[in-house]
Amino acid sequence: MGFLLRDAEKIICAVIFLGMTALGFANVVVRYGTNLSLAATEELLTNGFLLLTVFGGAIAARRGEHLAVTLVHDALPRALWKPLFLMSVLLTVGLLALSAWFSWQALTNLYGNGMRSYALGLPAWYYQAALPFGFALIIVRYIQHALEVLKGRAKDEIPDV
Amino acid sequence: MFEALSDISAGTQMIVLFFLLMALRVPVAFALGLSAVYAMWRIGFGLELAGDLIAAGVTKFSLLAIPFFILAGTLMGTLGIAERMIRFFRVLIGTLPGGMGVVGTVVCLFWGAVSGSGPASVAAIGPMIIKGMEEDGYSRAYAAGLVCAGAALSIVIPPSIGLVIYGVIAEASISRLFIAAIVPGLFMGLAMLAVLPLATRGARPAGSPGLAALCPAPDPGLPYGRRLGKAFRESFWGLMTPVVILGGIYSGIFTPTEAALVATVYALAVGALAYGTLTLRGLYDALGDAAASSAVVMLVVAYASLFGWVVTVEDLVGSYSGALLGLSDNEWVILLVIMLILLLAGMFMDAVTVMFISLPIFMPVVRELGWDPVWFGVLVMVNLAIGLITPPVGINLYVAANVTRLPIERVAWGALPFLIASLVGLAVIAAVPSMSQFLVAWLN
Amino acid sequence: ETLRLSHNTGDATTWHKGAEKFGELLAEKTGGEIDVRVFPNAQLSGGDQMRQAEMVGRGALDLVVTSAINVTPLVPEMAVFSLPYLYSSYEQVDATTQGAPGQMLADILLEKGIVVLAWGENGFREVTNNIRPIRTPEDMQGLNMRVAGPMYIDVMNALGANPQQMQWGETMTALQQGVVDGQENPIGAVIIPQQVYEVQKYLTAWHYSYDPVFLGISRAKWDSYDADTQAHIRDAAQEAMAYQRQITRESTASGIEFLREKGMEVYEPTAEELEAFRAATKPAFDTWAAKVGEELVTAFQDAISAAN
Ligand code: NA
Ligand code: NA
Repeated sequence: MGFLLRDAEKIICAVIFLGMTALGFANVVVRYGTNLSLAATEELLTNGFLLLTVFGGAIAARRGEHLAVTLVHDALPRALWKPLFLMSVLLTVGLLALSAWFSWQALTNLYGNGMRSYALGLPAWYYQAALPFGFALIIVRYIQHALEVLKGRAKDEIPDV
Repeated sequence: MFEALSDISAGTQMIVLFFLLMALRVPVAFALGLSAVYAMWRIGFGLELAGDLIAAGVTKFSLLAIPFFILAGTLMGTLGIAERMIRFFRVLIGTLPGGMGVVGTVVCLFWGAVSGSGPASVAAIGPMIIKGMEEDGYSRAYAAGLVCAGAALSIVIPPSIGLVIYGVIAEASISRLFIAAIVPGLFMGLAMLAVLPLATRGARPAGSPGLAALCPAPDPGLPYGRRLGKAFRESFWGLMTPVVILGGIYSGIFTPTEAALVATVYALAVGALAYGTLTLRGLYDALGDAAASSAVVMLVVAYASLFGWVVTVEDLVGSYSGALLGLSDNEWVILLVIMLILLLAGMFMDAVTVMFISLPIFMPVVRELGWDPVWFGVLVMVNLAIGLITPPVGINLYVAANVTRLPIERVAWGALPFLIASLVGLAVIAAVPSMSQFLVAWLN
Repeated sequence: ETLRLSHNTGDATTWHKGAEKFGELLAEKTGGEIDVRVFPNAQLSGGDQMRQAEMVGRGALDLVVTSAINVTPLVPEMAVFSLPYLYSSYEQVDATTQGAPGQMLADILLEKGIVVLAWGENGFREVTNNIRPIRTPEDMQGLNMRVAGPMYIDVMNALGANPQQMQWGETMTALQQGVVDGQENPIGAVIIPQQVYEVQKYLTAWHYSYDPVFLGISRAKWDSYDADTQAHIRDAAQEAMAYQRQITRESTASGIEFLREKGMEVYEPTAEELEAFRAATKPAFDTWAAKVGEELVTAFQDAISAAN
């Protein structure tokens, strides 16, 4: 259970990524080897990519991997670092919350107007249903990481080699 | 304060805000998103589209090469394929002056003929080259910088999605563009080789032992031929990767984007069947790492698409170019101004967006002055390749920072010599149109 | 006030010229009170051509110029226009788009929040390939064809070809390197501006499927205007789209000559040869006619027979 909670987004990503690899490769093989092609491959891959981006974003947030420029920050007096860090976390969480809200709106629009996917003709909202939750998960992971930084348990710097 | 602000356009405010947020150490992706959302709110248009725009920014088929090449690169690292390849190149030409730096540049140019996307190339071959260069005494930052600049040439050397799009917008012949870009692309590689000694100087500690002492070549007792043969046999399956990919693309089995997928499956197969290095745990970790790495890059792309949307709606490129193009009627000044605008736009946006919003403004000028649209297209593409390595939004830098775990400004710093070399290269290609034209003329 | 118009092709296409024309006429008719800013390449929807109409439908964008094929995910009935070999002449096309059948679809689009102001033209879709000239359905056997959507998959299967779905961005290289052998698209809207002739040898003007363009305004915007302004908008749209249809047909007619000059081998099938294609694609027609709805298809077929 603990593993599931801790690794939720990593498990999701591994499954999606492996599935995308298998599907995309199968399409190449089937097209080359037979007279058929898996016509819906493109649609499934690009939408899988969308999920991969959001849930992969959560993995990166937990590890503090989202790239920032530290040049100006490092030149400022040390006393300012903590308030600046808090402000940066607050702004980021704000944008992620907005993104969750925007994707929730997009989802309800798609649900309401009955738009269908291009190749498979599935309801288009299926593909975007997980997005708002993905953004919410990034927020959770981002805050988890920020708390660890504040408690001094996580390195707030990317290791400098 | 807000009254003073209202005199400045929302687009310009957005750019200022973006820099401010970055200085506050807000991650670049979120700084782009925050400043774009602010501008949308100011102009009162766009917030109701934001959810769709974020999704549309990611779900572009051509971008799919990025996660798969990142995954392939990760797997080649963890499965020991990359290491064996480096060993081979070390034995082959590692004793030349410049060592792995030369190898890295050549591999970048070679890979440019496989991939049409700069960031995907960094992901695919970056880790391998950087590791080799580091062992050869280069600093990690310079190695990353070289890979960023070399991989950017993937959008100049055909096949190039960028040239296809230019051809369509500018109504120029795509096959001529492909041919015209070959020599300038290789020339850019030469320019990079020229600054390689600069990158090494100061990177290697004074009196540093050469490669041989740092990392002795395998089996020093054997003659060169025997050593080479051994290294070749050991790294054979890894060395076959470009052969499989290029062969597959040029024999029409798969497309350049699908090549990234094939590379992933190939790496898995070599790890499982030839080297026996594939484990379930290793696969799970590689999938998670690659997902995180590609997400870091793709979130920048997603929020940059919001940013680019505001630039389009506010017609920022149009208004700045209008002012700048009116400055002079000297051809060279106009060319210089256009190149500067493209460089500036390329600092913030991806190549495709830049072309869509700027070419409709520039092409009438190009036609009026009677410039060759094919030559101009090569210039645009070299310019946008440079945009991939210029901060603040240089996607190649992000991918490299991500795979090397270096801060982006260190990578950008490492790329600086190559950026300068690229700018000089761009100037030469602009001043010598025959460089882009003679191959086209010769083939006709 | 400045209205924003989104369309999904480049700025040198007849779509763009029609949209610009609409803006000029509207500014003229309203004494400069309303003008239009045109955004090409689906820039306003982040490059996603399928979402433009939906955005206009919910009032997030003002105006759209798009083709029926791009709206089928939102309004499946729009597939009626592209049914294989539904039309055999421009007169038949005009009898439907400018008559009662076009109005039936406008009514459906109105329910989705889009007021159709006027119909324009994307054109008949023609087939190109690199293997052999296509004169009979048998010539299609075994060709790898890049197609644009689910209905065309069924049509290609009916002809014995292997359909592939592929993003346009990849198609040009795929054609050049032989990943696919051929593709199908309108001459004026795609084959010439996208330079398909550079990577393809044979073209057959088989007119197998038609795609209309329409100029639509968001219903919320439309309802905010008085009757006079609405009349101005509709007149400007009708005039602009009539112009757009005319230049599209002219460029299609001159386009065949242009493609021959560029070295393509162009084949124009006879009426009997077209009949063979019509017969061969009948199963796909029936499948998709059933999906679109019998009532709609009958209305189209009646208008078409009346035009003969
Ligand atoms: Na390339
Ligand atoms: Na840049």
